[in-house]
Amino acid sequence: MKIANRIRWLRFAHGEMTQGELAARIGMTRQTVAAIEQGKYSPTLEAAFRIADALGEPLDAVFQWQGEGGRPPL
Amino acid sequence: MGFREKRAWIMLASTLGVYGVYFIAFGRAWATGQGVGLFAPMATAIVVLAIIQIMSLVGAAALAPSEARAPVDERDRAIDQAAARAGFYALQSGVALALAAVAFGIAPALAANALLAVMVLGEVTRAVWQIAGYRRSAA
Repeated sequence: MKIANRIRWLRFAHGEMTQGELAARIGMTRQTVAAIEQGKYSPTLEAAFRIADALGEPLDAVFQWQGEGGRPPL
Repeated sequence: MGFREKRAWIMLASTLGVYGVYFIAFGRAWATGQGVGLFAPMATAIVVLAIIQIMSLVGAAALAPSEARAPVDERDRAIDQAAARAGFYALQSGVALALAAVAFGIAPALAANALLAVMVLGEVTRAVWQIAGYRRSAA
């Protein structure tokens, strides 16, 4: 998976938001949020923006490209 | 496990169970040369399958109502599309084989059951693809 994310850390930084709460905010299932968080499913661009919006962060603070020349996860 | 994955398991298990019994019974009756009714056994299998699936889905939804009410999201849709495509290819291949068998002049009862088996194959392929899709991305 070439897209890393900081969703788990950001959830806890935002009042220990659960996966279910985040899922309800962005109109997804808890299982999909868990899959995204663990890098087992890459969300669409729209879903990525929704997640970033729900966490109150810019997109690149939530998701990072890990391809050639990409930076390691924060 | 989410509700939609449970639903796929219910579809797979009930389809294999009901049609497994049906095709074994049909095969035995055919092999022993007994008269094989066409409409009644097929209709019974379809009705029994529908009852089992409805009851199982209602039960699964009652055990986890919030999961059952969760919206279908983009991952569910992606998995459904891939599964529908796989099911369609299985159905298409099976129909071609069944048509070839009909062209070779198999008995009407066998032809009807071959077509039913093809539909079952399509549904089983679809359910297996859904389960594989959910398992691959399961957290």
